[in-house]
Amino acid sequence: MNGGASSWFRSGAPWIWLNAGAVAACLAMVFGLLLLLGIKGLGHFWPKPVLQGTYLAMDPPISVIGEIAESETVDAELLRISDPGLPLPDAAVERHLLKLGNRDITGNDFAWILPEFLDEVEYPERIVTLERREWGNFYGYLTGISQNGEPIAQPEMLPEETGALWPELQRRLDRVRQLRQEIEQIERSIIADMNFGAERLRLLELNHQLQRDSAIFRIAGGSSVELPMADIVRAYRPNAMNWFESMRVYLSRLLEFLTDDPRESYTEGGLLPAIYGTAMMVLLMSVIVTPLGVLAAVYLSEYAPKGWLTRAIRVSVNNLAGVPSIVYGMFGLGFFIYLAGGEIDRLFYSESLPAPTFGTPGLLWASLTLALLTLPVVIVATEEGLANIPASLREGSLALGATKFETLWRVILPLARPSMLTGLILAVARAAGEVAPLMLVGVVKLAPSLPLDTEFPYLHLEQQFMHLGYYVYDLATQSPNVEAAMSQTFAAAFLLVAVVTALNLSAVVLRGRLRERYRAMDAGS
Amino acid sequence: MASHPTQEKNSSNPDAVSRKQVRNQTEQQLRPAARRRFWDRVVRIVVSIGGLGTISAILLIFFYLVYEVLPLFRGADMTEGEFFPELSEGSARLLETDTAAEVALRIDEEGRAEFYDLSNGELLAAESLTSNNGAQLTTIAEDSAGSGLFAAGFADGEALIASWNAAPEPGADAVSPRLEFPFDRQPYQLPENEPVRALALRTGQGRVGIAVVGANGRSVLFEEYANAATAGLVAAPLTGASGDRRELAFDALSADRILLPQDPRWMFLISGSGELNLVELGPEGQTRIADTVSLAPDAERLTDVRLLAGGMSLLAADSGGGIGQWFVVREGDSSRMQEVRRFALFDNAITTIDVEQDRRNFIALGEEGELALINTTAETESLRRSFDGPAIQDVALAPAGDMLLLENEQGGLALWRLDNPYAEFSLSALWTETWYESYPEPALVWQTTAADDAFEPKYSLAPLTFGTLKAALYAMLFAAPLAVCAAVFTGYFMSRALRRQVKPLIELMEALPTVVIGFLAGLWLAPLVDANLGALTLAVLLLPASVLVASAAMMRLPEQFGALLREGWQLGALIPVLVLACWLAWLLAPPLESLFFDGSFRDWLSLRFGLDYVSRNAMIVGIAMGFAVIPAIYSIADDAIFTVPRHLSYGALALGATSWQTMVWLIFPAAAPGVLSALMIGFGRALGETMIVLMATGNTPIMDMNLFEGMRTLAANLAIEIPESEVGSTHYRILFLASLVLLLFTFLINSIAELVRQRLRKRYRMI
Repeated sequence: MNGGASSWFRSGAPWIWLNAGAVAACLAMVFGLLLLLGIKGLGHFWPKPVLQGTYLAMDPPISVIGEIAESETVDAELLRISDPGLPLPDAAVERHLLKLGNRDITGNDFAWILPEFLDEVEYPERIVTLERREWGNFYGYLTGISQNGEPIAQPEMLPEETGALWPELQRRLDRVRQLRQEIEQIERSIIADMNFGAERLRLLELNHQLQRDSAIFRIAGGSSVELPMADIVRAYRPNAMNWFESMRVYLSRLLEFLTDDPRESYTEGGLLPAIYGTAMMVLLMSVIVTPLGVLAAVYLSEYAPKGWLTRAIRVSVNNLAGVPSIVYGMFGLGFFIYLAGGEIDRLFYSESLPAPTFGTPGLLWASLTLALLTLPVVIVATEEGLANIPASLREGSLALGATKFETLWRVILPLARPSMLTGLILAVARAAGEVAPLMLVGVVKLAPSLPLDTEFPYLHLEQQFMHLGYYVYDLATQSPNVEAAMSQTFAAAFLLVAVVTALNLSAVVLRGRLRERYRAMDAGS
Repeated sequence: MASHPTQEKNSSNPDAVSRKQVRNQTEQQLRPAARRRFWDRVVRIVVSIGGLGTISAILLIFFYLVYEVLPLFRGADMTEGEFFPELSEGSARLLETDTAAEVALRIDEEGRAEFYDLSNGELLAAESLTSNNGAQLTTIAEDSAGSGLFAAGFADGEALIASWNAAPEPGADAVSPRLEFPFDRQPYQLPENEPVRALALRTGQGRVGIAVVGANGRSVLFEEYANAATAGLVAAPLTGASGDRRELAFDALSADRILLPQDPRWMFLISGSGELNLVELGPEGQTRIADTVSLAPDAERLTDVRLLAGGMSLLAADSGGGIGQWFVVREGDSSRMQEVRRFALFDNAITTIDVEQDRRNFIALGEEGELALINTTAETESLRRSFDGPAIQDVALAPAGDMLLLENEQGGLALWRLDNPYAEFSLSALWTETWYESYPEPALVWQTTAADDAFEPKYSLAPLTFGTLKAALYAMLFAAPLAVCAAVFTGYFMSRALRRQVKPLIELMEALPTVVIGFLAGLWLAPLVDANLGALTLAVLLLPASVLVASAAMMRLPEQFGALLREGWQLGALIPVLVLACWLAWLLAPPLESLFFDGSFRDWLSLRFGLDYVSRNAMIVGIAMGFAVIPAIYSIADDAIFTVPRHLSYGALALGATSWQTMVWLIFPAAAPGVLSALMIGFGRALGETMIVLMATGNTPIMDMNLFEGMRTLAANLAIEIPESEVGSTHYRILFLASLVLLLFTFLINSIAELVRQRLRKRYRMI
């Protein structure tokens, strides 16, 4: 047995296995991270069950209603320090972070609780979850609906008897939704044309109608709260929903996330401005970087004299891809914004000085900075494509009497097109995920308007914009209520990772296909 | 025209006949050929210009950063002004300019205050500064906070607080500079009506303090008012304000000068011989002398003393041409005056010094009329200058430090423009230990902003560089073993087909936005590690062990089963093993911790080794940033190992070496330069990474190698500070210097790595 083990060691097999373990660990980390983001990010939209119970650790015991947002195991010692009166077990204890909602009423919407002290736990079907425009979630029992301040149902009725109220609430919420759509439409048309006298009036009227209904709820602890329906985005009874109903809420929330504006100081609701800003910036950057990158690559590989200088330039360009992105941000800030932007302001916008127009962070400068940052990527990828084109094709074309330009235009570039595309995709993926330089040259937490609209000159290059990556950074570090924003941050991070990963994978696939094609061409010739 | 020479050349070609035929057939067919050649040339030019232009645009980044940094190394410039002759007589007690340096105030020894227009040397106004009873001026002192207020002492024991105003009076057009008394000429009276010998004034933090010494040198009056009127801008009388008035008696004291530093606890009493008594103003009227020092070196005498901007440091000029900077240093419970640095400026005595309002700049005038402009913190001498013609006898620095008022011995006044924006920068202060105000000893500190205008900025890049290296080092500690081991396996032991699938998956890590990694590190991993430090440590031990156990177990499996476990299966089987090991570590850690480490590994570490634990620490950064640089290292190292010519290993294997031996003794040494270059590139990546460090640490610029404490890196510092820094300021340019350092460093590392790789490629080609 012993001899077996020592010979096993001598063969080096364990070391090989350890190396295999490193590969496995790397793969596990990649997949683990993607899995974590996927579960937390996509789970964000799923309606969670809401529990009701009595928490005995308080004196007197209080009744709580809320979602379990998180669970963790902590050392009992720590708890004993903060709360010496509790009869705790010796070892580690589990505790839950309960999302209590109702921040406008109770002040704090999260609380850590110990499950041992939670009594009479139930998941009543009648508990309603409200998503609101302000103040975050709300949990309670629907007890009445009032119109213009007059109750339409008896508030004294027992909760069991208020079943009919629920469809009524949904009906009225639908009305609110329709009114809101109409208001948005009118607001948009007001911006578009100046002749809005009649529409102004209609808007006032609609806004008045919006305030007509309100709903009355009984919250944990028994007190009654009246909420205007105009503030309610979505109402559902999570404990009463089956899978399909939950799925409907899920999809509606996902849709809101992708296509709507944020609300509640950017910690809830949609990401449309951020998605839009990212896309605009990346698009503008692509328009700049593609021709320039291809031009530089064609020059380097076709026209530049073959010598040490060209080699040095090529190595330098290659190495610039490894220079920290924040350095590009510094360059963008100093050179583009303060130097070039300041000069543009002096020449063309002198009437609005000292308020800067282009001499301040904005979309154009961010795109230019990122174009500079990604130029090496495009150049390297395109050059690689150009170098890999079989020499026989080039020679054939030249032998047939084509000029160098014709060979380039008719033979080489069409063949190299996929490699340019690869370069561009990699550049876009890098740009979409980059945050550090953008923080200096144009990204803001909250942009008052989108950089593209119906107002002349339509594309506002000088405006600041929102960005998905920066949104993640901002929510994670600057948000006033990090716990409440955590789930939304995961969703935004997942969206970002999904986009960037998809782009990168497509580049990998494209590159693989390309290689096969060249090989086939080489073999054919 | 353009096509002509080519046609000539063509005629000598073998196919010239056919060409000629073509040409003769139609003229039109020739033109396309000429046009084609023309376009070929145009495109060549366009592409060359465009390509070179683009490349130089990228390379511009180097030159731009240098362009932003260079002004830092420039000294001060001085634009000479003309002397307006014979304006004044005698020597001045006070020489000052207003903030815009348009008007100068000069008060001579008799108390005559004269206002001059500095653009033409005209006398604008003159008045006499006397006490309420008409007594003559004996001494005068400026406010140490630089408010423009000054205190005047008179022969009848009265002291008044005054200021001056050069702005036009409301309703009047012409400038009519005048003296003003913000406290309504309310005097401070010495008890025995003896003449005032010295006095000092301090404003700030809603308080006005004044200290007065009488001619007999025996009694010192100190009064302080917690009056809301700061800096005398509100002309409220002090009556009714709550005052702290104390009379101090020091027998052995003959104070010729008195200074009130900004810290309300202290008062400096300085005798004519240069002896300084540090007086501690305790609560409830207690006072004591905390320290006594001699300001001038032996054999020299004290010539002038001033408080530096910020009111903490004392500048003492002596007859030997030296200036010492002193401040109070705390040592446990006791405090002492400490000479922090000394400037040996001239060979002869220094007659006057004057200071700037906000920056630690001062100007010194030598006996023979030489000037030197110094910044104390950076120890830079921005300017040195001597004069021909009549000797300079007095000098005043404008509050902003942009103007210099000179007075020569013939009574001429001149205003000189100073351009001295970067005095606070010096290479030595950037990298070596500097003794900052209120620090007990020299230190390396990065601290650039504070609420106070007169704050002493501390520009030491050392803590940031240290933080950068620390973060990169811990990241490499995590990433290097994993990445290199993985590269060894995929580059040599794995089949090509599987490698083609696995490699892009690991490289996918590189595509993950760093902001997401930073977010997960700071908000998910940090609290997790916080609670499970013991489990994590255990996992580090258990993971390799579990792989070995699993491999041994798999060797024991029956043959036909082993055939099933082909390559891909190995990896597939290992992932659950690793997950299992982590779970085991998580399960085992709490009982082990309570058994061996009194319940908490973390507390045990801090108790036993004094290691502080901060939640967002270097370990979190190491893991997160390590994760981010693994793909860079892995990808290049794998290429290096994979491209080692295979026939090398065939020889070794044929001679009976095991595949591991072949790897260790043959393949790895051959690929080692490539692996090294991979590590360098990974290191370069880690140096410049911004978002992960920004989000996963507390960003405090400390110098401590402790794994469980944070750091601030150069890159994160740029992201934090550049949006707030004023364009073109010293701070702004130092940040650009930091980014230049970062750029050059990573560029250098990448270039060396690239060089190594090219060498390697050439070597393989030869084998």
